[in-house]
Amino acid sequence: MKRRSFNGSALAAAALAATGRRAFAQGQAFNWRAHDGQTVNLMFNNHPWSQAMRELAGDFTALTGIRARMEIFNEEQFRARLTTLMQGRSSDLDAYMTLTSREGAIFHRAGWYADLAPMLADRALTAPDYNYEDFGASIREASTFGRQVVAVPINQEGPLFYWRKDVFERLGIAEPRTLEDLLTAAETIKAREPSQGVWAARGIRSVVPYALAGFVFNMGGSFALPDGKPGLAQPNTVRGLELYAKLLRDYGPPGALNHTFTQVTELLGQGRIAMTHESSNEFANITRFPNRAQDLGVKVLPPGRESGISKPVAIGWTIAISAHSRRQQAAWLFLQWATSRDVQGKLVRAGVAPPRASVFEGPEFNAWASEMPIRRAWANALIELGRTGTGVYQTPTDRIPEARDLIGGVIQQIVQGRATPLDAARAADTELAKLQ
Amino acid sequence: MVMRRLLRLADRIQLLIVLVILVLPIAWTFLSAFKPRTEVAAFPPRLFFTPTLENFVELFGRNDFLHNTLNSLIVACGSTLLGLALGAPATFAISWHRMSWPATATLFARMAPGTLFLLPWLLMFSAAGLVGSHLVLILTHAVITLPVVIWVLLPYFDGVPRELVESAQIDGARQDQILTRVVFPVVMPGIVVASILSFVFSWNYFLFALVLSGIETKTAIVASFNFIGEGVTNWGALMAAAVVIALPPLILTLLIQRRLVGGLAAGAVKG
Repeated sequence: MKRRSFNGSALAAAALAATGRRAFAQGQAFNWRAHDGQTVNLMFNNHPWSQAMRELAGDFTALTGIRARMEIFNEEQFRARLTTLMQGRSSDLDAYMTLTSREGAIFHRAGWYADLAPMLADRALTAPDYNYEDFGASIREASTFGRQVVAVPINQEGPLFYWRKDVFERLGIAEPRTLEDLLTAAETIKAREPSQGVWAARGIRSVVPYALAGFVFNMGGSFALPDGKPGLAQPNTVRGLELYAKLLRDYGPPGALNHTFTQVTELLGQGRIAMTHESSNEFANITRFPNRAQDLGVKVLPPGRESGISKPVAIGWTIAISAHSRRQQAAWLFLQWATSRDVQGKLVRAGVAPPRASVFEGPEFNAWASEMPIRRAWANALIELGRTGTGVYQTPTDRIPEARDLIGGVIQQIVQGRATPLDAARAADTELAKLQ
Repeated sequence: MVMRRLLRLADRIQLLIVLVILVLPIAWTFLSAFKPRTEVAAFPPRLFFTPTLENFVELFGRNDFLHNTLNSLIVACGSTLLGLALGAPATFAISWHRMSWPATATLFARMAPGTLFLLPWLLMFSAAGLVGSHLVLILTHAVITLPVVIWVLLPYFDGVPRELVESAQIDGARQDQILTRVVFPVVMPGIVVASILSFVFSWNYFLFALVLSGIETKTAIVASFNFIGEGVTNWGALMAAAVVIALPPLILTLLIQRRLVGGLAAGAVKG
């Protein structure tokens, strides 16, 4: 019995290896088994991408003979462990997920990224069909510092506007076409159906800017003046800050300032709120709740009424090789495989929006999106994110986490009534200037 | 008479309030571990539901939580034994010679934030090739268990009559015999209490294991955080993990609760 089971496993592994090889048939001349028998240590943030990677890791081993050991941590713990290992110049870690739009400048300056540019240029190290240019130019630029390519993209994401179509229909509210319509809809829901929760969004200061930035940009505002100095006190920026804070204060749940995606997603999934502005990554999680796949609408945040501007936040996680790794070439094989067209096509079903244009426009993604109207809406919203989005949503500085913390603090002060929007913005501008 | 009844009623109400505050979150966690993941945060909470084991399947089937729990067990037992091996003789010496500074020094080490130790330890243990091993976690968790052992045992050792030790010395007992055959049996209730408290503190300690453990040695408390993440939060599995993590300390505490209460109060009043 044991022998039969072993034979079955062996056959399955052989079949898997064959499938893997077929998938990379175009790159037959390329030697995927150059580092057969090695083990690469990988550290990932807990994310739909990394969970899907865990399921697919066997395919990588079958193709290359390399064992991929994955550690997955919640984002806060992930950063704590990653920075400690990197500060300790640990060679145990070979590759890790990184949000280059957030920490890229600091990590690059600290020398924590291996340079991928020479590997990309080396035909012996990079599969001929890898096609790095398949990633959009803006996505590639976000992970390029000077001439150094520090990481390759694994997904694209951004905050999207989710709303309960059934609640809107029941109360005779039209689909919001402008940012100001959100406030009108909130007023109507609260007045006509007091038992229905209205709005929820991120309130913890460090994570507020991700959801807030769309409000600022769409109102015609910006976080910086034309000369690059902090510009939160500009009139249109203040209007954006004010609207975000007002929705949270007057229509948000109790304790909203302690909320992040975990609470917001639960509230929307449970049907306890009618609207939110939350990450595209949460789509799969939200639609897992009963009825949400049928009664939700999703799109990018509507443009400002007067400005007509729609400028969403669009970021993407990437994967980098540690500068201290002793197995950089084996790790590079993992990066190539994980970001290949074939693997990204498979990840779509796990709710991971692919950063490769060929996958996004490909038949697999379209077939998946066509199965349900809400998937199509989500896919369209992601296309728009890629087209019009920006990954810069703070004043210019290398100390991005601190800057975002200060911007989030403005919202907290307004919601708590400790300062007027203008006063809070002016005070934050003074502090933000110190980070430049 | 009426007054006495009213006071008794007030007592019961107070007890009920305390019970609700203490027991409700535990009961909520326990029930949630058996709910489908989308029902955990349902409002109002559902008391009657069809229980499911899907969260435990996620925990032990899709994740290697059993392995993580075994790691926790190895580290907590190892660091408790190490704490006792070093702490019990040290406490005897501290008590016998009436020196308080060594005990105070261990307390300072315990009061210092864990982050203070992390980077030096990482560099030190990396150079020794120990990072990712059970040994490194046992050694570092001794920083937690050693002060607990010393401070719990100190009143017990102080309570041992000096004449008892002197009689053993006169009878020709060696130092180790005095300690193991005369003193330790007398302070055994304290050793039990110190062991339980050390085990619980080490079992629940998060930071050192987060940085110094490896893939194969990740402890349960660190692994439990993996059920939270953007797009992948699974409250059901997290609640199931919380139940599994809470069980060993809970069982230990229930088993020795009488001794624990007596032990914690020992030395509070000296006559």
